[in-house]
Amino acid sequence: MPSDTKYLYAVSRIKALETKLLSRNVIERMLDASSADEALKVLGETDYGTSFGELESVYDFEKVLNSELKKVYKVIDDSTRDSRFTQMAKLRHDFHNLKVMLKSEYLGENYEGITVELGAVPLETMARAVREKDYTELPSALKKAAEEAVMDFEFNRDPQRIDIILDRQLFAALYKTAEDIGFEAVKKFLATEIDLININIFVRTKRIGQDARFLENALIDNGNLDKSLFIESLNEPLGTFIDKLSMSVYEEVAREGIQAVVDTGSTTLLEKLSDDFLLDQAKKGKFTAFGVEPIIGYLRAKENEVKIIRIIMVGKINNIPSDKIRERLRDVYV
Amino acid sequence: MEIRVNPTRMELTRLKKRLKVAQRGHKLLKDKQDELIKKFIDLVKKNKELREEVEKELTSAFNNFVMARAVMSGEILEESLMYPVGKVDIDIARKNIMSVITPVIKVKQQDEEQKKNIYSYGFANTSGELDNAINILSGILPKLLELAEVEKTCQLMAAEIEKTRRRVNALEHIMIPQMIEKIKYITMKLDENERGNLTRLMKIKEMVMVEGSV
Amino acid sequence: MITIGQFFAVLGAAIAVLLPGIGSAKGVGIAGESAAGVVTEDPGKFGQTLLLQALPGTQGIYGLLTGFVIMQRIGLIGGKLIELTTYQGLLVLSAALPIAFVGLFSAISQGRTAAAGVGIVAKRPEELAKGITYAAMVETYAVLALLASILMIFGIQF
Repeated sequence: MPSDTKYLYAVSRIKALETKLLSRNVIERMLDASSADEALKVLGETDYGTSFGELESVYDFEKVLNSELKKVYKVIDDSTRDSRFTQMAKLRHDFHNLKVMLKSEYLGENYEGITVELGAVPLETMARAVREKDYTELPSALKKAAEEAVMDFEFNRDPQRIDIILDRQLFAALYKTAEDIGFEAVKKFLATEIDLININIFVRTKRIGQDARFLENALIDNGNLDKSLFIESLNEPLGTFIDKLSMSVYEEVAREGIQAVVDTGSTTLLEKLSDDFLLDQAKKGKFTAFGVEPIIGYLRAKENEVKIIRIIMVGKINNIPSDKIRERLRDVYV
Repeated sequence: MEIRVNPTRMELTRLKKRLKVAQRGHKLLKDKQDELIKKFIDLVKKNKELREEVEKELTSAFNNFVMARAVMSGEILEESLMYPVGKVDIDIARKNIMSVITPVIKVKQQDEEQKKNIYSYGFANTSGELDNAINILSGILPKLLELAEVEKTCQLMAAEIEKTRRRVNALEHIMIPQMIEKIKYITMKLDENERGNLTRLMKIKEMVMVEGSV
Repeated sequence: MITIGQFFAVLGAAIAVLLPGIGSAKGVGIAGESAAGVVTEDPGKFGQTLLLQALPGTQGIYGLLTGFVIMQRIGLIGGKLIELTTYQGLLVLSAALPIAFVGLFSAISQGRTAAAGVGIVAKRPEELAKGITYAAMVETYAVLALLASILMIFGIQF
């Protein structure tokens, strides 16, 4: 494991940046705003205001969020002088873009507006690779994923499998990067995220009545919880699964979140609790002055913040009552 | 109004026949109209019920959708749904209601395997709220098709009722009164001729008698 | 003619300066790197972070002080090195050890504590004093080591 003072500059810079994260107070004010415009105005008073230049209407708020994320990636790249941290965030966007392009290639339709520019691979490069079916220009993780997905689609013709394969490959690539960074904390954090995703996949697979083969395919590798735990539980009632998780750290997520799925059939609470659990893990970063925890914590905090803003803005635009929005609101980092 | 008709006995017989047919037709059309309206009202009731039901479910699907949109970025949501997998085969047949040709839409039953496969996206970065929305939308489809069928039938029936009513009105208020008028006219004309003839005959008879006596 | 005793005594002076010096350099470096991060985002915090950065520097000074005292005692500064037996030389070397090692490690630790203190300043500038207090606690042990080393050096009879 590298020395824990390796990213000291970045860590303390992040400490200073943490003070600019949105506080509960701002979020409450956005929530209490009477309209989407009002909510956006509250956001404009914060640090996000600097990205408001490209804003034409409230519907463009996603642009602001994207440019904010871009800024965060740049700060972390600059301060750590190590692109692997943001690589882990950018990979997700790259894989998203690859999904879009593969699907639109098979549909023969245009994909504009669905891709994001937050990835590491330029969109044109990826579009060309997909069009010419020559993936050599892509990073190896994307290349491998694209080849597998294309081969599978030619055979199965199932777009869902494109997503499933790419998701699996994405997390394999993330795990590899985490191992490469060398800090146990990064790996541990990723494994926790994988566990929570797997719980979500399991519950939803069960809800739609899919079989064990589907589940095995969909589950992500490298989690702390064994895949067989999920597969074996597929034919048992969810209550048994909750009991099985009660010995793990996910006890609370299971007891409240999965119970809510049993009671109401809705995954809303489970997803909120999962995100909060992950944020809780990330919060370790607030209390350490060394290592990488503050970096992954801040990245997660920022992504979480973007999610919160999105929930509020979409809710406000669609005139969803405040309590419905609040139900879905995630915890905050600060 | 000027009545242009040949005041002949032949014409009179023809008109009388026509009037009979018209009156008979009027009665039949009137019956048809009544029946159509009865059926139409039933259909409209059914249509309203269906529509309310469908709208209720659609609203809940859209609510789920909005919430799924809230917890996922727009791009991920669109990516998830860009390649549709759900397929529905339908049969369209025709049905004759009171001589109105109406469509009958039949949904071919999907097998169980297909029902599970309505989700076109992976689960790792999507929300379970999207599953709900898709599930409701997929379940609502047969009802939506039924609603389409009933609505189209209503439209066709309404047009037919309108047409029938116009015909009934035309018969009742124009054709039949006109024919009666014409018959009356011809009868009068014929009667007058008769009387004219009679007078003439009497006059001739008188003249012949006067000449004979001279 | 230079004796082995004289060599050990000079070696003592050398490590008394050397190790705490390395430690302080490292400690100040750690705190400085940390401070730079905060100042990048908030240049107004330069003064406060500088204070924290300077704290791990004291060990180097203590080392230098000890080194001077040794040099002065063995006559190195006066130009005339006094005669020393091997044992006397080893005594001087031993006397230098406390400040040498404690200085080295305490400076690095203090550097880390100061870096953590910089984290406090980043979030709550008004709590600077607390950050300094935490870092200064580490100083205690450097002072104690310095005290022990000086007492020993003055206690050695030549």
